[in-house]
Amino acid sequence: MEGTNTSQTLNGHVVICNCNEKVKTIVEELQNSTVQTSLDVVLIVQDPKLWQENPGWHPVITGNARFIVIYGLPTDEPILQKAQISHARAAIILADPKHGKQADAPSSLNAIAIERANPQVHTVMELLSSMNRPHIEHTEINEIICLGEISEKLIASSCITPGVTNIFANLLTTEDGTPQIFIDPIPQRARQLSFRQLSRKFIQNEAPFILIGFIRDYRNETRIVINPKANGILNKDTSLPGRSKLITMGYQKPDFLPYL
Amino acid sequence: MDSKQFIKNHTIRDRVYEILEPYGGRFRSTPGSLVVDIIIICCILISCLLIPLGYFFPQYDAFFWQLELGFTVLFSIEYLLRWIVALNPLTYPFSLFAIIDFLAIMPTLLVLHGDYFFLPFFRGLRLLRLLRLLKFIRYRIFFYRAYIGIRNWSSALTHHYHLRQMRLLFIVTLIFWVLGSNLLYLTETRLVGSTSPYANYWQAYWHIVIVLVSGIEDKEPLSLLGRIEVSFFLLIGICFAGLVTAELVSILVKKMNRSGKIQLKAPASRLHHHIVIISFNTHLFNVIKQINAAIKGKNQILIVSQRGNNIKIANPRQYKKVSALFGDPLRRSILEQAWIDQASRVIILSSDRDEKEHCLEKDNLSLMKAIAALSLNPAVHITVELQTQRSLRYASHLAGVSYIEAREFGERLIGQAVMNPGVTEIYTSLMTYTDDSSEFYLIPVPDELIGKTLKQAQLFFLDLDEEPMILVGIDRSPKPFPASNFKLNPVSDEDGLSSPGVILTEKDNFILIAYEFPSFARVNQDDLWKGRILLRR
Repeated sequence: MEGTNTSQTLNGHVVICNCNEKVKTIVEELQNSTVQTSLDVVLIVQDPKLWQENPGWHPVITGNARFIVIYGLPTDEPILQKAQISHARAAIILADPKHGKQADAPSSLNAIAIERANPQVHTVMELLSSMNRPHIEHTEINEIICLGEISEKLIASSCITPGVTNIFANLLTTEDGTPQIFIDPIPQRARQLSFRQLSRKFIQNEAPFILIGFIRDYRNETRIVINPKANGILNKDTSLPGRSKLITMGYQKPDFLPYL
Repeated sequence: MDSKQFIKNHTIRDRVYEILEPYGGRFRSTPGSLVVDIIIICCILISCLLIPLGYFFPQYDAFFWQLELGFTVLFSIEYLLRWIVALNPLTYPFSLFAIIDFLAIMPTLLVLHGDYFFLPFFRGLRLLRLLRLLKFIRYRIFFYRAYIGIRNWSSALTHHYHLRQMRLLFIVTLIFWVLGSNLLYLTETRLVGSTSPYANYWQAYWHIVIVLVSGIEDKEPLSLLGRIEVSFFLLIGICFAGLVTAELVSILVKKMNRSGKIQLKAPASRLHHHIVIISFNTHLFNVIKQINAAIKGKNQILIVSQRGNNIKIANPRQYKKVSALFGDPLRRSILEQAWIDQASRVIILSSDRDEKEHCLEKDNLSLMKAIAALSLNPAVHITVELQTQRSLRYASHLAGVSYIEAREFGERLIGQAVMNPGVTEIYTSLMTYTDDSSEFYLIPVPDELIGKTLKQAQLFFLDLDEEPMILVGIDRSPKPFPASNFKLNPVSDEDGLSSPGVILTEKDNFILIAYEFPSFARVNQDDLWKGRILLRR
């Protein structure tokens, strides 16, 4: 359902700032996901002409989720309020093609403006130059995705282990019957159990997901541990306290309780 | 099955066997094997050298005999060890190399145990020890590698220090030196006699070398003809000194011009098991960094680009095993110089030389380079960076080639980052090669797990503490096309390769998350030999 009417109430939606060729796939991924509930999307477009001249960027809306386009500057507070940023679940800041290779600066400022308007929102920013990553990492932006870096890493991975790109493609797609990586809080019943104990329970009870790691606080730092070792500070046998999260690979958001 | 036993099964006997096997390159053998080979080769050479030494220095005969006994004991131990670890100990003594090994120790054993009977043939028996040279047949690959290595090294040295002209100058000087010394010696002895400073043959050599190298006359000849000849060599000496100085300055200038740039591949140097990166763009340095982190810089990397002679680098130490070949990668002669037919992998980057070029044009150029590389080495795995997904429609017809279109992955990752916050870091970690991060690996099902269920295999890997890894899927793809028919997190029976109860067969491959390529992986020796598997260790 596509429109420009922003008078309707939105909650838990996704705000996309700027438009480029990626809008179509991102919106379709968010709205046609078979794994999770479809999300309403608000797109803030700076240049209406650019958006209208590129029909190839327009997503095909098939479900009941809403797709709303707002014209204006994504750094303007009234525009962000119009996009109901205070109730948004996440914000995606895409690189504006108008700024060419120097789009990282306006994108960062957009992200900072959004974080100020709603610090709870999860911000995902598209970065063009990996050289800028260290500077942007010091801001409150939650996730930074650089296509160049992905390209470099995938080229190297494919060179070392031929075929590995198919595995990543399989994991990243949200099509039905393909697994994804999920991060979920550890259930109360599983607290103080170790990775090894939890993993054994899930395997023995034939859980439809695989535990591949955990996220745990250690000395005021959040540590991500994938494939924990048998020794080291955070290992296979380290007990996982209440605030830990489990990293799993599965076809749907995991329900841990039946397999504990 | 005990996990410790699982690891050990592949180490105790196999390690001795591996160490005794001739070194077949670092992809196939351990460094210990190389050390043992060098020790044995040195022992063979020294023990054979003892035979002529015994004739020339009979006063040391007793000492030589003690050494000979030592070598015989060493070769006997080697023979017995090879017999013990042989795949079939019953037939081993009748194999060609076992007979050669026996022949190497037999003459000394005969002398030791039957000296009364064999005394008349003692000298003949000593000569029979030369049969040890036959042992070199076992190390033919080592010698071949050493020959290639020395040739590559000398070629690189000549190329990098521009020594070709210097070599020519040296040869010309050598010829003039020999000619001049003999000419002066003959002239002076015939015309002057023993009073001439050139009447002594070796003195003539000394005087002429001084003339040639310094351009200054050392000793004056006494005959007129001798003086004319020395004047001629003096002129040559002056020219030679000037040429050497100029050449040295030229070498220094050329070296300074190339500082801060990637070294160029020497035309005659031969590469094998290397990684070829065709074309140049901003991703190049990070791709090299990633590959070096993954394989610890064990394989040579060659960049083939029209900008190959001008690739600037910040830290030359990080690029010790990286060289560049200047030329158009679409020219067959350039690809032949890159030794594509011997390469382990080929990466084709999307060239950013012409920024105005359309994405499709860039992709077409990359695909043409892939076709050109495949024409020289149809078995090599190629990774091609594409700009647009549209190219994939026809690119996918090129079998055995992996395509990377980052936008596709990026869009999906952005979507996932919204639905599962924090997930990008997990993917980044799985894509990054460091000592402390895990990556995906595909390995054949180990022999010990064939016939077991997937669930049993998962539990087994959970307790394999020596090498932490998580079994996440099964791959049943045909060998040339890995990960084309696989299932991650198999939970249902569809495709016949799912369900935790599925029985594992010899043809299956595991998809593992591990810190490095598992040491126990059943690896095809031919794949290793041909560099189809890249290893960190």
